[in-house]
Amino acid sequence: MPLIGALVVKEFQTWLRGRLTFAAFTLLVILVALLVFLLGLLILAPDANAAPALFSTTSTTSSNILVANRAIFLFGAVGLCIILASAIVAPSVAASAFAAERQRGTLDLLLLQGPGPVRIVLGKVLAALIFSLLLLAVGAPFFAPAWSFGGVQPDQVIALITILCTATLFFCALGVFFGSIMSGSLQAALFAQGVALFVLFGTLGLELAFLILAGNDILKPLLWLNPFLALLSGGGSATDAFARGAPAAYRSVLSLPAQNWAPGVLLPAWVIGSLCWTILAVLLVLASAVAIEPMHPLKVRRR
Amino acid sequence: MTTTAPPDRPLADERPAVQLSPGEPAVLVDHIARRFGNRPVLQDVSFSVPPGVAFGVAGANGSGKTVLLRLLATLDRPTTGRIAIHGYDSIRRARAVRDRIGYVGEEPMLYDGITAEQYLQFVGRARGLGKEVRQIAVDTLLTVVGLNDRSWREISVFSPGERRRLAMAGALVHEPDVLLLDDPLRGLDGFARLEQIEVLRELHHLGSTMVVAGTRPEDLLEVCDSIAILRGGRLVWTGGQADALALAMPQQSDAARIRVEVLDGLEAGMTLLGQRRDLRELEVDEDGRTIWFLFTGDQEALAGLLPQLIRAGCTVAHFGVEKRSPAAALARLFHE
Repeated sequence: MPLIGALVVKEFQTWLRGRLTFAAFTLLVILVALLVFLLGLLILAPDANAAPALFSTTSTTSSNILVANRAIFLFGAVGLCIILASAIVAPSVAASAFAAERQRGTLDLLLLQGPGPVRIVLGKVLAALIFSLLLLAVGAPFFAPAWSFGGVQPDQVIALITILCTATLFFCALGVFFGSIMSGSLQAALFAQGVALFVLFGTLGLELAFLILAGNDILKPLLWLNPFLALLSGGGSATDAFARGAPAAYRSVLSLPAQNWAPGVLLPAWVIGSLCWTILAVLLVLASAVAIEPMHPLKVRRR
Repeated sequence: MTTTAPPDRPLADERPAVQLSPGEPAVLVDHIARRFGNRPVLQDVSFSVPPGVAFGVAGANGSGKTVLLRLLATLDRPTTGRIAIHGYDSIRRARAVRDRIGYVGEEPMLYDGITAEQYLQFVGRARGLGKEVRQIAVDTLLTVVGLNDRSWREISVFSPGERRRLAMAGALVHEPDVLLLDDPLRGLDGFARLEQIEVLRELHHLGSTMVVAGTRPEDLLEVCDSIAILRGGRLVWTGGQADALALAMPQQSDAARIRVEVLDGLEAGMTLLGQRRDLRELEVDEDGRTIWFLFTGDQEALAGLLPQLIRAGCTVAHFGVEKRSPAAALARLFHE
């Protein structure tokens, strides 16, 4: 895989020289810190009654849940913030890096190196993934308060890391895909971010809208793609806490039960979600490879 | 301390040696056409380049040179026709073709955020060269293109000439059999132009098969063995240095090419000359004061022509028999 390694090294050499990277890095630290601070204020408020529970329409029913599960709520809240940051950062990093290759004409240079378009796309996705995860690592210290309260289980940490890695992989693949079919960096980044944010908020919004307005559950499968819900459906005390915090009418929507995919094998939502994002990322990589290869057999009939 | 570990991949060990059957061209372009929508950009273009030959493609801007070179480099697909590089079809065996060509586009394909050394290291790594071989290739190429003292400078501070030379070094990292250079002298003047021509000549002497596109025939004549003229997407002329020289000669053996430089009274002069039956191919240069024509009359008639022009109101700065240069003759084909 010489081209992939060379691409990853080259991307880092380019990114780490630009002032923009450090500006984005600083901005991200400030943004995540602010979000965590605000959520911390709500969750760690001395008078828990003053803090509205997540997803609750009343402030009185959830106070005990909130107080009893401060660590879980804080852990989940920081996790959600970082996933949100990933949905914003990863697609734009990947899309702009790829579209910039087009604008500079260096995509031709990469194509001429020989190993094929799939490796070019894969190299770009991996470089963007590593870079995005390094950027998102700035959120790690914000988990310290949650950890210090106790109650966060190792499997929840594993679930969060898996979700973050696979969802970021999917977001990077989205960015590279839009970068490969659009010529402008900004345009590609905005489209990729739009789709990523739709996966976070749009899927949930559509399902709730259909459920409330039409009374049917037809869009429920879309929720398996939602990283927020995958995290909240992590199982154990976290899931219980979040489910109890939500209004009763929405609990069935917000909780994605583990699925029995094979005898004796229960797959929780975060595993299913992670598999889905990885498969989608692979499909996007293949589609991008077709898009950038002028000699691909699929393009013969179009001309 | 030096390491004696063998390199990951020697420069040319994985690629089978070029074994062309006798007479087989290194580059074969067979009746290709390229359309963008309904607009034909290339029409029925055919030529072949034998191994070791430098082939120039000259034409005005928009004549289709860049599209032709992109087709040869497998960066675009012909609408009809076939291209083969060393016998490999450019569509079905694109990867094999890419392994054998070095392409430098109209605009050098470079990453501004890294240094020249890092750029060549990246290209070498992407090509799968081992660490030792890569370092040797990078050092050698930086010396060949005269950038060894600027290897740790960021590419963004390079001059246009240095950028072109670095891009050329990048195209040579894997020792390609065929070099495709799109307007390698574009934007260069003075010393940078001469330096670049020297580099191209050196590459040619080393035995590279080259296809070089350009807008100035005089540059291509400096480097190439044979030249084709592309006009409106069609090849209108193909020939060698001798053919270009013959093209510059008057078509009739008894005709003389005359150059008249007129400082004032151009219209009056053109009217006078236009009425004569003993001259042909009357034309004015782009400078608006140099008149060219073929004079078929005798010496006496030619001697009387200058006073006639002066009497007609022309201020003549030069009047004499001149040879047209082969480059100028080729350049005329761009528009005729």
